[in-house]
Amino acid sequence: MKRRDFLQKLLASGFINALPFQMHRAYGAQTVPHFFVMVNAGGGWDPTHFCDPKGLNQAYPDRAGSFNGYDGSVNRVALDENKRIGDIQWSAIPDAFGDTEHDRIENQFDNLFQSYGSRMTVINGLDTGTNNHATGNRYIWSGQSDMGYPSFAALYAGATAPSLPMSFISNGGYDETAGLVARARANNANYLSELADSNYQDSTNGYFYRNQDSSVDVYQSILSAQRQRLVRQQTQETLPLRRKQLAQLLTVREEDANLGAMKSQVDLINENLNLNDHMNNRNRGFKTQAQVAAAAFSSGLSAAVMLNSGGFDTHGNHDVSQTRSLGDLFEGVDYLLQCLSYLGIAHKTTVVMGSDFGRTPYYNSGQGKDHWPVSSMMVLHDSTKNTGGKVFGATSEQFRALAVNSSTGLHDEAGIILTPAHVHKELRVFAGIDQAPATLGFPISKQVLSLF
Amino acid sequence: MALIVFRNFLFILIFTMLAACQNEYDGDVVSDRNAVSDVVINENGRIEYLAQCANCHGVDGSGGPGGTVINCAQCGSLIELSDYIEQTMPTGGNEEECSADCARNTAEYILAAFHDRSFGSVRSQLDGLENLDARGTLRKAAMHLASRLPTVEEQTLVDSQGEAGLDAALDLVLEDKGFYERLMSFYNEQLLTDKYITSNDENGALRLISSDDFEDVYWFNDDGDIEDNQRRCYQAVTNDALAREPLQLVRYLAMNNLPITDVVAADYILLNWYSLKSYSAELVSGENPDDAFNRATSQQQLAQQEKYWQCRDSRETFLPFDPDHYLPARITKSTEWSGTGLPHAGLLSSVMFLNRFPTTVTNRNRARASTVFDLFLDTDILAIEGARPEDAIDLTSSNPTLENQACYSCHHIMDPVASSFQHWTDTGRYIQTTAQTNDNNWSSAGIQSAGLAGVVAPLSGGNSVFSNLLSWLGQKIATDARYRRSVTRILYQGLTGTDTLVATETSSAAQQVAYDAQRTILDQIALDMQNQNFNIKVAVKGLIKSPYFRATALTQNTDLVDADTGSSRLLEPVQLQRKLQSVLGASWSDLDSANNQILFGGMDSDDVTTRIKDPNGIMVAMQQRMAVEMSCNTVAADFVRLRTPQDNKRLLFPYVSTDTVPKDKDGFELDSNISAIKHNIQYLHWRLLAEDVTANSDEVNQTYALFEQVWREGNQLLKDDALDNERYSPRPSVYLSWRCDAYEHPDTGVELSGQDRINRDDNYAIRAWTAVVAYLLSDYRFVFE
Repeated sequence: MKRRDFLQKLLASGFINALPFQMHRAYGAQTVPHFFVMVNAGGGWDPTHFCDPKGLNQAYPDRAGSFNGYDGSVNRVALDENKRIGDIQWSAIPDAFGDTEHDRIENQFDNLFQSYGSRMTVINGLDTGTNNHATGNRYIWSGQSDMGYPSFAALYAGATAPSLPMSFISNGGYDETAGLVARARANNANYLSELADSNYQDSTNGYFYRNQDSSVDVYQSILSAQRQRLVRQQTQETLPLRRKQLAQLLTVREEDANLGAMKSQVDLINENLNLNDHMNNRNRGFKTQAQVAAAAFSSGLSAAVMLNSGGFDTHGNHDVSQTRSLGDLFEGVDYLLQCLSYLGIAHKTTVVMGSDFGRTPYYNSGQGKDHWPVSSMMVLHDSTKNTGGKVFGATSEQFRALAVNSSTGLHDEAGIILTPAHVHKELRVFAGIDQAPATLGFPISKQVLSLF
Repeated sequence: MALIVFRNFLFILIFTMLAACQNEYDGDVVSDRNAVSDVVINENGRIEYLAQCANCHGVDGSGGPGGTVINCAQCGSLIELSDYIEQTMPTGGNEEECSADCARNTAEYILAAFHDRSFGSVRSQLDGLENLDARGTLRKAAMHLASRLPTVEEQTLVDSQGEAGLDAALDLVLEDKGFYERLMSFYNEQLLTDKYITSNDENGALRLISSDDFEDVYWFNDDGDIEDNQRRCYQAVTNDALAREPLQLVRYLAMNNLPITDVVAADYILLNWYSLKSYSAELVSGENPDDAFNRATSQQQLAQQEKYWQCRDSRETFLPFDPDHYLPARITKSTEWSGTGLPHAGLLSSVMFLNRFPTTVTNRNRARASTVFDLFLDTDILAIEGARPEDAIDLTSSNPTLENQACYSCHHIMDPVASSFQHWTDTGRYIQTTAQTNDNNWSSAGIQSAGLAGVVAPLSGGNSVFSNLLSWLGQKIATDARYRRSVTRILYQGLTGTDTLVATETSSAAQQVAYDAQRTILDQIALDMQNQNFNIKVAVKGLIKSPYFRATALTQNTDLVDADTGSSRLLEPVQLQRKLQSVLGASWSDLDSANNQILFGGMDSDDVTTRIKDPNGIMVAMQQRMAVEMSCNTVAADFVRLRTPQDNKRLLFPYVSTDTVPKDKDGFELDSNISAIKHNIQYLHWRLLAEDVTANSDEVNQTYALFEQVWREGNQLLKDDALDNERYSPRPSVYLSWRCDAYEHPDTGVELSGQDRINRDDNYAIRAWTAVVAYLLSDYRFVFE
């Protein structure tokens, strides 16, 4: 099917025996064992600009001269052997900026890899098989290029804690839920404290009367009546669509949305990790998303979050725009990791970075780079892991995906071409949800590798 | 040659799909189809079929050299089958011999004769589904379309004439200003041009317009008649008129019952007095703008102050013309690269559309073409069958989109449309590609010539359309059979919040049945609209009267409906605000904030381009907070409104007063009071929740139980023994909180005199009603209309 998948609709409906929200309540405890942050670099990033650099290799001599001084290389900056940790080599910064900006961006790049490279796995040579934004983004984040599969963050939240108030927070990117979990928007926490107590009027009074210790509380009578009515409505409803909606509402309402605690966590972050002092505060929007993600995890409201950053669809002036966007993103991810660490949950949070696809290994006449199906993902493991700087997968000098050995991830002509499906197969196992009821409706028939 | 290969490919594909269909269909499908109303045979179609088709497909459609046409892959939809016949039949180089009416008549005959399908009138009933009655449908339609309750006139029509009166009542709803706003919202969900309005981006639209072409874009900065402290107000009003130009075209066409095909074909744009100045445009009527546009009333000026903080700098009203009055206009002045103005092509040539769906040197308008197919031709380019290269890389062909069959299968459809945009640059400027400028980097090399559906746009000779290719494209789209279907789909998505069903060769029989049923109904709605001068209101009414809007209960299991059938949809933030205003007489200030609208599932047409359909913890908390605050704000206030036997202006409590309590002071039940309270509760269930219940129903009794409990416990709180008990701290009071009392008249805002104010609640009745209203406002049915 295009646009919509019947499987998704049936799963999300009242036609089948179990409603998805209810179906998984028994499976996963509401104390989430691990958190996931998926970082979407919207538009299609260029792995050769950071984690799979090729340098001045003149791999496409027939493309040379498409503009002044271009020699047909994949990149326009030489490899720097000093920029390496373990097996990970990252790119130097092209000579496209003034000194101040060059230094800042180089610092953003170096800081990410130097600070976190030892717990990082870079997955190179991922073949998305598409040059289309929507298809690529869907494939990268769901492991399935066709429509209907849930984004991994939604799948994980749906499998482990579907009834948490903000189990799956999305700030953009492919965030299909397939009816497994409600999607929440939350990019800043300013208003949330007001929502923490619906009956709050002032420090002394509720709108509806309650005494100081809440042993007398008129509002509880209203809540109790609401709850009973919702159960009656769900029992009596026959239309599948409304049955589904009522089930979702009942599930979410049964959880205690401790939004006040979340706001407190954000306040703590703001007091101790100042946005304005942090590396020139270039990507503040992403950082506020990161604050909310960390606070939502820490206060037990959320299981998985999608963060979103744009600016990667660099068809023109690629070196400047792509490098600048990557620097901002890396700074934002560093801030996210600081937030997680500050709130004491870095040891149980995995961050996965990805984008729609890659970009051509040569420049167009506008000094831009167009769409290219080969891409990379980066996994920043929790703080207990030490990969030593691991790379899995490989590409040729022409930035084509190479077949790799399924155990070592090294080039092996008898091996396999990596796809996002392989990554998601592995992610599901790693997250412990590969056999969860929620997952079984969205199978991925790939072998398990040794990615993580 | 390539075309022949493609046709062969299609033939193989369809043949495969036919085989798949035959395996999947069983007798149940036929029985379901028999549920459809009486079959009408298209006689012209029968003649065509017998003359041109029967030799290959059998007189009875059951087969021959060309295979059966019964349950064929395209047989789920009249339009689909008609298009298919037009493009591919008869085979063997005779494809031109059955197009337009021939194709449609033949398709109707095949579907009627061999599939028992009717093309008479739109069905309003699906077996196994119970529909809302006329009263419920009107209420729901008024709320969905105009975000308000039915008017007395509308209600009377339905009450007196039932189903027959529904049509006339809906006509009145479709004249409501709120409906046109809603219609623009439906289209914005697709176009996303509200990204550029002031509340999202203060200069968003103005910034997109080239000052090289339009030197007066920021006309308000140079106008000596405008005070300095008023310029930002003019700027906001101008910006939003420019930003909403494409949506205003939709509104204008609907308001004037003009063909909705002009969305892509109009040779004019919609401007108000302010945006007209930015473009230095001329009205189509030739009138002087100062004479043609309506002068702003003081009420309209105050509305702008309400809407824009930029207009509140001065207490004076100063906007001379009504910002909501738009008229057709044309840009006829010279621009930098055109001496004769711009060739308008509906919203396709709008600067807003062209920037919202931009292009690049290498993309070559293909993203724009893909959008056009999706929005106006009901075609998902990516779903077109074809084998893409394994790794989507072809470095051997000098031009893969022309030379590689795998690429060509899509590109030969998409690229002619892309080429039709060639004169419109990435920033939306009109620069003909023959102009000697680097500002338009288009090259016609390596891409197919402009066209649509196999028809190539004439680029030379007397009928050349070279200079207005996009207008030519718009005209072609307007006459394409897929356009009417795309309009219906946009409306369906807007009304139900879900996309229309799609079926493929892998769909199950049940899926195919649901798809088939929906396609039949939607196709007929689209056709009715076309037959009535493409009046979009015809399609809106058709959808409202269809089971996809009216379904209220499932009475038996059936494949005719799928999991999303019905239109129970979470209200958008703006809709919720309007509903609150309509049913309570006040809106919720917290929901005015753009950020809070996002939290409640709204979109900003920029970073957030989809609405949330399922409730999450934050949205539930917001609803509960809204329920508490709004019940506090409106309950005491409603008791201020006049209530006499002759004139009852109460919105919430027309049947009770503040001394209508269940028992007298000695504890005896007051039957008439209890009856009045229940009657009012019954009324509130309908007013707030559209729930038609009797005064003695379980739901009314449950709500009454809450009222009675809060009233009884509240009175206990006010007794001396409670007041003297330290446990009751803070001390319960006979006074209402200052947030909940009635100090001003809710309708006039005029401060009430002492005796008219309501700030005491000695018998706890107001607070008991506040609890009831909070209970109902936090209900599922209040936010899922």
